[in-house]
Amino acid sequence: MKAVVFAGTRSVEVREVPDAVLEDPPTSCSG
Amino acid sequence: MASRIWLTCSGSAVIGNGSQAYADSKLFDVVLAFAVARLWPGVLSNALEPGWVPTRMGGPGAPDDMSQAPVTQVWLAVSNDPAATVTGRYFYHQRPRPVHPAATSASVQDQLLAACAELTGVQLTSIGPTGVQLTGVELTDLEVPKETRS
Repeated sequence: MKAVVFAGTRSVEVREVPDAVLEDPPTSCSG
Repeated sequence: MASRIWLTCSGSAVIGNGSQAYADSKLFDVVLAFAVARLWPGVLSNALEPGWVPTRMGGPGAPDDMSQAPVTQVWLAVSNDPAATVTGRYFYHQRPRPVHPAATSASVQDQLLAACAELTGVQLTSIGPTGVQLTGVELTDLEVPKETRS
């Protein structure tokens, strides 16, 4: 699956990422 | 009154904790809000974090005040307070908060818009103070489906 990722302090990229990365949201967040 | 946009973000965007995908998505909320502020000068576009509150996702031990979580959104949407009628800012409980330096970078903003255009075919372009212009999409495509309206 393609996703937009933050690739560094000044870089944004479209990358292929494993589906699990996007299908496994965090179970908690810090607001 | 100027049109207003606010995007709900997360402290994960500022300090980079949580899963990388989640933190990236929240950082991009801020980047998008700031890009709109830059490209659409007639629109007040800001980002905020509601705090770590005890929602199902936040968990029962979340330390922040649930009653405060929606206040900044409403304030930014309708208040005439000079502090609320700004653009390109990041808030936490109605107060400005420092944000990741990438969010204020025009280069990063343009990279995000280009990546979104690549994935969706929708391009956000600069406009004057009186209107909104998107290319590659009909405004009817942006309507919220009836089944999701509350």
